[in-house]
Parts: sequence; C-alpha cells; structure tokens
Amino acid sequence: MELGSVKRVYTIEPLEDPVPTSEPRQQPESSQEESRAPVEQSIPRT
Amino acid sequence: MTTAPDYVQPVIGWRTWSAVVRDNETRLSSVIQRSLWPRGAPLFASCRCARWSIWPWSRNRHDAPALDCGCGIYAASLNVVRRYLPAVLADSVLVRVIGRVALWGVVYEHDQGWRASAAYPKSLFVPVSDLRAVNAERIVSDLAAYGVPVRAVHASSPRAVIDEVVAIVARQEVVEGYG
Repeated sequence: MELGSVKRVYTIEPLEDPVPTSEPRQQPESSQEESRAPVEQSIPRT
Repeated sequence: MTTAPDYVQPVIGWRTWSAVVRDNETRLSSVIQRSLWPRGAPLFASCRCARWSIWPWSRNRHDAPALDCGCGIYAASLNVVRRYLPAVLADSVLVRVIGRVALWGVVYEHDQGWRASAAYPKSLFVPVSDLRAVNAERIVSDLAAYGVPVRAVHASSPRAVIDEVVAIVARQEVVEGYG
C-alpha cells in the first residue's frame, strides 16, 4: 500500500488499552517472531 | 528521562488482512509480510529489511517504523483502502478480511495513511460471497477470538463490499453514540 510522503511523526500512549480485556492477555508477539512460526495454512476462497 | 507522549488516543485506520489457519483456527495475517496477528495482545512491528539483505552494510537493525525504511504496521483511510480493494480481492485466491485497526506507539503519519509500531484490530469484516456457508461461519466465529466485532459482508463486488462495510460502521456508530 503506497502511503505517500511522511507528514509528521508522533508517539501515542493510549490511556485505555486498545486490546479488549475479555480475551486473556497473551505474551506480546512481534512480527519477526511470527516469521519463525512454521505451521500456517492459507485459506483459499472456494 | 522519559518523554511524554504526544497523544493518548490511538489512531484508527483501515487495512486488509489474509485469513489463515494456524493450530486449526483462523487467524489474521498481514497481506505482504505474512505476520500473524496475535489474539489478545498487540502486534509489534519489527523491520525485516536487515534479514532480507544480502549486503552486510545494509543489515543495520533499527526500530520500526523508521523514516528511511518502509517498515511498520500499515493502515490508511477508508478511501485509500477502497482504491486498493478491487485489486486485493481480484488478485488473490485467499480469503481477505477488511477492518479498522488501532495504531499506537511510534506513528509515522503519511499523506494517505500511517505506519506504526503497535497495532490491534478494532473491527473486522469478512467478504463471504465467494465462500461456502460453512467456511464463512467458521471464519467469522474463529476471528471473534480477537475480542472485537466481526461481521460477514455479503456483497460481491469490491465497491459493494466497501459500501456495505461503511453502512455497518455507520449503524454501529449510531448505536454506540446513543448507547
């Protein structure tokens, strides 16, 4: 996705947790860690 | 010394995901990087450029997002997603999911969207017109584990899908506004 030029940079620390609390909180996973996870299967549109 | 944040509300943008199966359950995956989005915890960005590069001098690790790199978790306005959606839906044999996403941490604001260091879905919409009913029900049911609203979208063309999503969001906002 092309986003164009950078206009500004800022930091956000949400007052309320953006993650719903109904789900038990897992250990944070980074996208890099996820790339090592082997078992993943795409779902074809059939 | 710590620095005070600039804002305390996450940015809300739009994006698409792929629906993938892991451990026999449907999960969200980024379309390009194939990062699996955790349930009940934020996705934190990390730059993969360093790992991809065969040139030692370009393997400098950095926090994501960064100014001179395209890394980070992407989102855009609905109008931008609307432009991309026909290609996203037409070019893929995979199940795509559209949705709103909360972005926070370090956020790069671009002309047409954002790149951020942390994100979590806010609401999900699954175009189901090409899916068998049993698959559609299972995907919607599995994605509910993210703890956010998940809706099936029955329209078939990309334009109609977006229109249906916009209508659903408008109804939700009216309900939330009066709730």
